[in-house]
Amino acid sequence: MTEDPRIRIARGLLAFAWIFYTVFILSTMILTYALGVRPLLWGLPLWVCLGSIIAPAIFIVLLIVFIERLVPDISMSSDPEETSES
Amino acid sequence: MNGAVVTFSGYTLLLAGIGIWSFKILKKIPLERYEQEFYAAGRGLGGIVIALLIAGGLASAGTFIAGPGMNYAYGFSWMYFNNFMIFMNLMLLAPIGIIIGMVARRINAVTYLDIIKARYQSRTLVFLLAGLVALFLIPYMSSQFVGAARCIAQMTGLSYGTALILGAGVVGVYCVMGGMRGTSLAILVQGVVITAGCLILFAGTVQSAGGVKRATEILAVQNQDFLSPTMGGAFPPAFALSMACILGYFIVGLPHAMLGALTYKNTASLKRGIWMGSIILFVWAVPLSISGILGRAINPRLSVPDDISPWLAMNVIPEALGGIVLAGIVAGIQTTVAAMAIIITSGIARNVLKEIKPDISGRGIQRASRWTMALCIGIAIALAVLRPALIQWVIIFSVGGLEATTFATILIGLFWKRANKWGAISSILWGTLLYGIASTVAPRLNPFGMHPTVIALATSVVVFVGVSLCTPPPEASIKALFWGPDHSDAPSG
Repeated sequence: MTEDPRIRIARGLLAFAWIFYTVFILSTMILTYALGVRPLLWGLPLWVCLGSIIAPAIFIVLLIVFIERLVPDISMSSDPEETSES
Repeated sequence: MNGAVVTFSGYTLLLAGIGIWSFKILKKIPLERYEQEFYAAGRGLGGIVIALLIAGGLASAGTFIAGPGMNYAYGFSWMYFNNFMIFMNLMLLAPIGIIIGMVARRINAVTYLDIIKARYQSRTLVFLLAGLVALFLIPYMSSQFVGAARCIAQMTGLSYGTALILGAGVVGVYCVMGGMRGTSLAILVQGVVITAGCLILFAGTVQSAGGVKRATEILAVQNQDFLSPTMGGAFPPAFALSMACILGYFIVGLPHAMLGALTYKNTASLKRGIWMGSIILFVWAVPLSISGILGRAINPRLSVPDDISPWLAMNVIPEALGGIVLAGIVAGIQTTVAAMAIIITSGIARNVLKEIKPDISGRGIQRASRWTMALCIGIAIALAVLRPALIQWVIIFSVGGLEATTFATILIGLFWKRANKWGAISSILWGTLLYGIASTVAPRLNPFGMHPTVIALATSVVVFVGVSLCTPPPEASIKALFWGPDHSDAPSG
């Protein structure tokens, strides 16, 4: 059976989401459990500041870049005349 | 009447107005398009609404009341767990958004059970899932109403019963009258109110605590474990990992979260829904967590930790702004309940009813949709009278239970062509049974102190794959419908 080319994009997005989230979890786990409480940064324990504020913010920026650059705009309609959407 | 009551009343009236306005729009829709409008808002929602719909639907009283409450009780450790939710939109929309959007347009599906029926061609599965979803989501909805009522009662001085009717009643108005169309309009207002509420609460708390550093030093004097990521060993990294699974990898198993995948307009909306959702959840979760922790430095004597958000709103910020915070907290709860009400109703009024009575008229579906939704909300309000102490545990139990039972059927079934109805039914039954046992009589089944969801879900995936391989493969027409470019011979949902 010939596969709809959009399925390939769907599989790619699934893989991307799971890999991205895994890297996020591993990074924040390292920052959370390997760093100590002191010194305080912005008045917060060091692990909180880096693992729960700065790292998530960086990952959000990366997500915007990845999603907007890597995922193409494709037609979701079953109408064969429609080829793309913006 | 104090300023908080005035502000909150204004917000409630606005929502009621949206419900009435949406009702008027729906009245003009022809009967043949009614279901698509009521359940999927005409499949025309843009990125910001999709982002808010999923973020608001998943970030419930757990985020706005119980999250700060857990931070109050367990210090900074719970802030780390709260952060796992930041990428919920990604973990939901990215894996299934494209394929569900594609199939939904092919068969004109407006509910998650339309997709399941088309994929597995099984009436049993439709009944089983509709029942399980109602079983897990109605107590969840009820816990949301408890949170809202506590909050309204504490801040306005109204009785718990009156607060319950006020907080839940308006959801009934805009959901029952406006369906998904009303919910999507309401959620835009609610998104703004929630965000403003979170930021005001955070600013007021920091100022009242005398700064973040001072509050942290006070917490260290109260109990050094409040500053630890494990709360002195109470929450080991294995527990964190299971929370990461429940709020991330497994989130795709939540049917009410599937609303976004069924209603987005195009891939641009889908992409924006993914990344905007992360920003929204970050802006909600982080300030609220910190407010809950710092609240302990201001007042360490609260007997119910979940009371910290409303207590702060009443005591550390001006009255009128307190009303915005109250509206924000209640809005966060209402968005969740609305998403759940639509999912439960769609399953029962559209799918189950059509299986039982295939010749039901459009008018019949219309009436059934409204009555079922009113009934679900009514049952949830009735259950809310029980008032559990720490609602976060009810939320985690319901979310975990749903994920353990439906994850394989939804995610693996959408990507693995060999999956069939026998595998789906077996994995749902197995996941439900094991989750029930591991949560109650046999907690030893949970390895490394993990949540029962992990073991129930992992083994249900094995059952799903094993049983599917041992039974006949699905028909070629199903494969053509879900993965093939040509769907002319495919069965309809």
